[in-house]
Amino acid sequence: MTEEAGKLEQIRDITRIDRIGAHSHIRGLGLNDALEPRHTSQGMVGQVQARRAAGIILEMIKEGKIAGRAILIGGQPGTGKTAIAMGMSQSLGTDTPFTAISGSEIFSLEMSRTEALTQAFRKSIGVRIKEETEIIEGEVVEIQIDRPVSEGGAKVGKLTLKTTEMETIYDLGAKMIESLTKEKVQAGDIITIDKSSGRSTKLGRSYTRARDYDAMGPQTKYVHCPEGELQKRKEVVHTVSLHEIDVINSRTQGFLALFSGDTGEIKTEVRDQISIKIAEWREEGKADIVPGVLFIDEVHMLDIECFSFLNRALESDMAPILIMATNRGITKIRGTNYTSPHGIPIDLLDRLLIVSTVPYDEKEMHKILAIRCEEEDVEMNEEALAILTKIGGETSLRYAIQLITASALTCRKRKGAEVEIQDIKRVYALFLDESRSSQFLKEYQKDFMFSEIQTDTDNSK
Amino acid sequence: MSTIIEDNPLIKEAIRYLTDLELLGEEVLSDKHQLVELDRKRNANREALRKLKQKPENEKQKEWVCFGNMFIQMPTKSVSKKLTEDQIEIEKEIRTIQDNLKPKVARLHKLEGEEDISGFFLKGFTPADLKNMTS
Repeated sequence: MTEEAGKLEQIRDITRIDRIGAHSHIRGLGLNDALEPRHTSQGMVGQVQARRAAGIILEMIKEGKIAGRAILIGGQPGTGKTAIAMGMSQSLGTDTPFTAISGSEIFSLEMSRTEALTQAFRKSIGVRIKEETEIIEGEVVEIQIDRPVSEGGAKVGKLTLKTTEMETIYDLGAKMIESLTKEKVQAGDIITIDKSSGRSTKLGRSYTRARDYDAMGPQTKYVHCPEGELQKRKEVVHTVSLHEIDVINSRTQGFLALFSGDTGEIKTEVRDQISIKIAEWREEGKADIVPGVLFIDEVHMLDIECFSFLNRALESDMAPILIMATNRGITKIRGTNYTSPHGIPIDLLDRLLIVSTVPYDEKEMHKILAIRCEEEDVEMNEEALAILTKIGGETSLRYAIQLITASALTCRKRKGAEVEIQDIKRVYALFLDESRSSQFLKEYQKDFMFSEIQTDTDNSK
Repeated sequence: MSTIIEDNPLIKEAIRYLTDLELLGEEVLSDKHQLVELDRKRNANREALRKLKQKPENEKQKEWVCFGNMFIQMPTKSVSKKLTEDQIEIEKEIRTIQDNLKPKVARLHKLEGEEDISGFFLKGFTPADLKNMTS
């Protein structure tokens, strides 16, 4: 019986640590079926144009037929660029590979910039393969192993396995007996035996045998008795990224490098051979390519050589969808003395679809702050929220978000039930925002270390 | 009452959809049931073959075999041969039912409005394949 005819389980290997980050309240892009953004939905507020554009790009990604498209999200700081990228990654789900890197990440001593970029590209392309095995799964009714009377005789054993619908007896060979004794299989255990490799695995203990003993060891897991036939065909679908396949094949015991992260430079021949093999498998129907998304934040930190590399890399047919974000206006391209919009050379800009984000207005800011209060589990009354919105409008959205937790702690200190105006006032006085801080600096500049008293020059932001 | 059903195309469509769904569901359930029965038969044959192999070699040995509601005594060798042939037949049938079950379940998923489970129509793969790509 194939696995998927029963219920599909998504097994989570790593326990998720619940820490609240700057964008953890975002669950998706908040679009309806016609790809129209709802004003407040799934954690996203306002920014309608950009979200509509993002929705269309999402459809392009889901179709999977478009390779090597690039999008740039540009806008002032605090206008939701990273938030849209987070929303897109949540909407795509766990099936589509989504790699997020920052522009400065590619600069490292261990590998060259092109290698880091190639790795990031290959991490965003997934390969779907299916593993097929015949297994025997059942509850052990009785396991009987007889030691031979004479020396040098082989052990003989009988194993009785059952499911809810049938029961049968297996004669065990020497190797099987060895592996079962090593696993310490007893009556009442639920085991799985792989027919091709002969490996046996203990899944747990049966519920019906839970009352056998008064006390069981600490690691005992109780599982239901399996249903259906004893010998099943099990199919598991895995999605691996091209980068993982590269690393496994880059050297002997390559899979260890996957865990340690110390992959080094992977030769081009290895990558070419792997690309050819994957294309072959695709023809044979053994593998499926799942193109994903590579998100590069702060893309203005890349230099001119990286941009030239990107131009070429986007042309290959195994290229993911590239989403870039930057908050720079017309700046110098790193590595040259020329200026260009967003700090990106014009030939790359020509290949991009550009999405702009605009600053939030007061109503939208109010809603965003309300969502963040809920996310950070802070009770705030209406007036405090209104004051906070005003503060956000005058200073910046991020500053207002930071004040939420700070004021919650102040409120807790005075043993109040919810955050009030006095708490907000208090933290506003304690923590300066950017403009007040620079004003303070202007006044007391000569008292700071290494200050050069300048009369007319502006501070560059 | 019947004219109401015949006149309204929406109701007809709904009835047709529900009949399709039920028929498909019945088929899937009966296939699963049949797989269990076949596996039971297969295991019974396997146990019988083991017992026969364990008996001491004797050319003239005869075994009692049950066919339906008749008991017949047959020489051991032909009994084992018959059982092995039976096993091969059963394995083939199990394979066919399993292969046909997959598209039926996929259609059922689609009719019930659930998302497609992708990747189950790929051909199988072994872990050795992943490691031997650069040969």
